Amino acid sequence: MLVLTRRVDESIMIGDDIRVTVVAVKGDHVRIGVEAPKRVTIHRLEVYEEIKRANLEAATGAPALTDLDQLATLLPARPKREPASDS
Amino acid sequence: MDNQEHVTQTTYQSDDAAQGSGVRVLSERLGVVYADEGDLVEMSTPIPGFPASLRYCLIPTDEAGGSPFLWLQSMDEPSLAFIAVAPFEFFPEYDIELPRPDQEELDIQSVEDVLVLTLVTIPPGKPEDVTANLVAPVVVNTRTRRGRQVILYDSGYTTRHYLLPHEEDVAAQPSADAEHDTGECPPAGDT
Repeated sequence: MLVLTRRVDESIMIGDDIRVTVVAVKGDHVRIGVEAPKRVTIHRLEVYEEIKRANLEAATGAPALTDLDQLATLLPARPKREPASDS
Repeated sequence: MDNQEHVTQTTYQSDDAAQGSGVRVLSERLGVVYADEGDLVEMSTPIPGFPASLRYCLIPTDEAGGSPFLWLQSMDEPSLAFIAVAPFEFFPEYDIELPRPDQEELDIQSVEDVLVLTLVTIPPGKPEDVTANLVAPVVVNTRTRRGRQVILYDSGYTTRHYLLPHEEDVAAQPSADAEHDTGECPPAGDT
């Protein structure tokens, strides 16, 4: 990990289009501003880790087709449609 | 807006009946599936935990429409598939405010463009305990066919809401961290 020391209002450039700025320091809290293109997601680590954990559980636990069939029987009845035909 | 309308157009054919129309999708679970262009989704950023996949295809789990659940099948990794469902059927009051950066990144210009899906976890052998990740829906712009898993800070939702009636609304965390890890996402506001 690259560790830099910055004062309030000082910044760090990551790549060409991500800028991290120390906005304020109060006690043991640091307010950090991040400017980045919209395609770059920015999340607090623990949030990101929880989403990732949930996704991994959802994918690796991907169900047997029998579980899916059984789940369908537990749902409120739905009208069945004819499979769509190519027009 | 009926989310299901967007995904019931899929022509789901075995390889024997291949017509040459549609897009060929290889799924480890489903074999070869032919889908319409309108069922493809390209993620603007990978789903967290799965950096190798950007292209996905939505495939109904029941071609006859008897189930609201869809496969979100990776087209980049045949072994990767999620189960997704439009959440409003199970959570009629599910209320989401799409963060502005995600709105802009997905170029959402109208609410008609938006398809919201939630990824579900079905515990093996216990389908009645299926849970939905309401705090991080997959949002798709149906006009551009681009999507992203969006994180809803401050929404109060978690990653583990039961779809079917249970005593609790939210399932406990599966790991040993259960005592201090509720699965909730910390609020975005600073103190």
